[in-house]
Amino acid sequence: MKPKLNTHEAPAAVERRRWGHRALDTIDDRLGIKAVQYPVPAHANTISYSLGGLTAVALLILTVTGIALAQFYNPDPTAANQSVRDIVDNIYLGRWVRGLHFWAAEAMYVLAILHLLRIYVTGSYKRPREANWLVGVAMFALIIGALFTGTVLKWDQEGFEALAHNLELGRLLGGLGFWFSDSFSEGVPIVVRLYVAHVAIIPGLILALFALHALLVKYHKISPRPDNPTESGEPAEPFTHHLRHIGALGLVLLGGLGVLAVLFPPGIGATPVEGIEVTRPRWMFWWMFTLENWVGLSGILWGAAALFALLVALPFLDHNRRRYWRQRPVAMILGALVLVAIIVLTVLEAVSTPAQHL
Amino acid sequence: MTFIDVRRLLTTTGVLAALALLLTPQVAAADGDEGTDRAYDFVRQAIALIVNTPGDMEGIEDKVGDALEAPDASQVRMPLVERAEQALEGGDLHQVRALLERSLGARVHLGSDEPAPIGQPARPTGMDSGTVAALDPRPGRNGFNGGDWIILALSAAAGLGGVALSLRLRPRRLPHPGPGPVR
Ligand code: HEM
Repeated sequence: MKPKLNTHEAPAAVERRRWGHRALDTIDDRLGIKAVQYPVPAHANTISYSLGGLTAVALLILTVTGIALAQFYNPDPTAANQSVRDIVDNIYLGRWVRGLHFWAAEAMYVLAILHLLRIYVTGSYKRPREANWLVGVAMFALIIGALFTGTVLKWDQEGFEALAHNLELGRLLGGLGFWFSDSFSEGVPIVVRLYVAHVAIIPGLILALFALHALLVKYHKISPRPDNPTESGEPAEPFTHHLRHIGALGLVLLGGLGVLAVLFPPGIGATPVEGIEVTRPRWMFWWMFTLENWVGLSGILWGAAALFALLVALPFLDHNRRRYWRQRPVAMILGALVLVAIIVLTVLEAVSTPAQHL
Repeated sequence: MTFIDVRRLLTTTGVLAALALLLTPQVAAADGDEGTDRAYDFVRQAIALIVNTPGDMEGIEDKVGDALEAPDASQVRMPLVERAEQALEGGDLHQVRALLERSLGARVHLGSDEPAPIGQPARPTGMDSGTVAALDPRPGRNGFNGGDWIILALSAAAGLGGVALSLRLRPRRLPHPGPGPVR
């Protein structure tokens, strides 16, 4: 593409622009970067269709702050809790970076759920996007895994009790729960293995799946708005504009998380001791703990298994080809019921006094 | 209801039920263990309760009582635990905690800004917590200094900049003709 010549511009400016284009062309010849300028319909730039991109921004913030934290965190059980206190007290910007990591994790969880709900409401899991929905479900499970392992790493009473619970669950699973057993690798403190999962295994898997997820979005093209299925009259914009747009929204996210990290930095609990149960799990897990209060430890397993079974089965159960929400009353009502059930179970745990389970 | 495939729904339910049957025997088998007969563990738990739930006097008393009755009193200086029990009757938790810490050979706690763990645990493996005497929890923030204000301002500025940019870049004039026929 030739640069447009503006006759009023000074020759030096024109020369600069030519130089810029030539440089871009040179790089493009080698790396093919102009390929990312493929057209994307304008609705991709609305907030609801940017929630996946924002989830990715949260992942980016988590990666950067996580790398910084990893320089000062010590996964040795006798030192882990203390090393977190040291990050907060003695490391320059440590309290803020830790706060940012904490709040970005909350944000990623919430954003992934909102993204999932968008996909649900716009029926974007339907043919031909079933496989990408499943990739999304797998990433969602990994996000929960990252939240869980992150909670344990700080090695306070709360994190320790979460882990103790999880070991019990592992026992319930029998052979399947082998990884979550302290006898699987006896010489190594289990928190060290969870650390490896938190900083390498889980993020590695999320990144690999995200690459697949993004490729599939490009392959199928973003689903059209259900109220304009032929995209008639809708302008297209290069994908680079979409990235710019995600960047702007990402800045809002970063700023908001930065403020939260200053105003409400996370604390750290007492160093852990085995054999007592005095803390409450993180709020994301409350709905499962209400089930545990009702039917015992296996309630957690059943609750989680049921939710994920529903998520996995959804694209294969729902054969309605329509994607506009008003034309899908059954899906809307069932979806709302599941959501309300989870919210009610969460609230029930919030108003209950923590019970002893183990 | 016509859009939900009933056969598939039944198959899914069937698979779930089969899984349930497979899991149930283990569910029943996996209840309750976690027992200890060591005074050492009961004293550590008593300290942890003082630190985490200081209002729970009953729980603390129970643990100290358990420690005194535990068959295995190794690694604990029991006379100090007895004194802790007396102090507990007087209601002085600070004193109780200090006595319990000393009974484990740990240093007496200083406060919530503890510089280092107190007590030397054995090398932890598996699910050992690695804690001898629990440290106090710490709140996320104590006070607000100049640096906090600067980061706060920078973060807020970044966020507002993002809002302005997003507003400028937001898509306008998207047509909404309606759902149209099913393709
Ligand atoms: C790590 C978490 C995730 C990231 C970073 C992510 C990222 C993205 C991005 C950037 C898009 C492009 C469109 C958009 O942003 O709305 C997208 C689309 C999509 N995502 Fe995700 N996603 C994640 C989790 C999920 C989950 C949990 C699900 C559902 C269970 C899911 C299902 C889908 C589907 C079906 C599409 C295609 C949507 C369409 O064509 O309209 N994703 N995802």
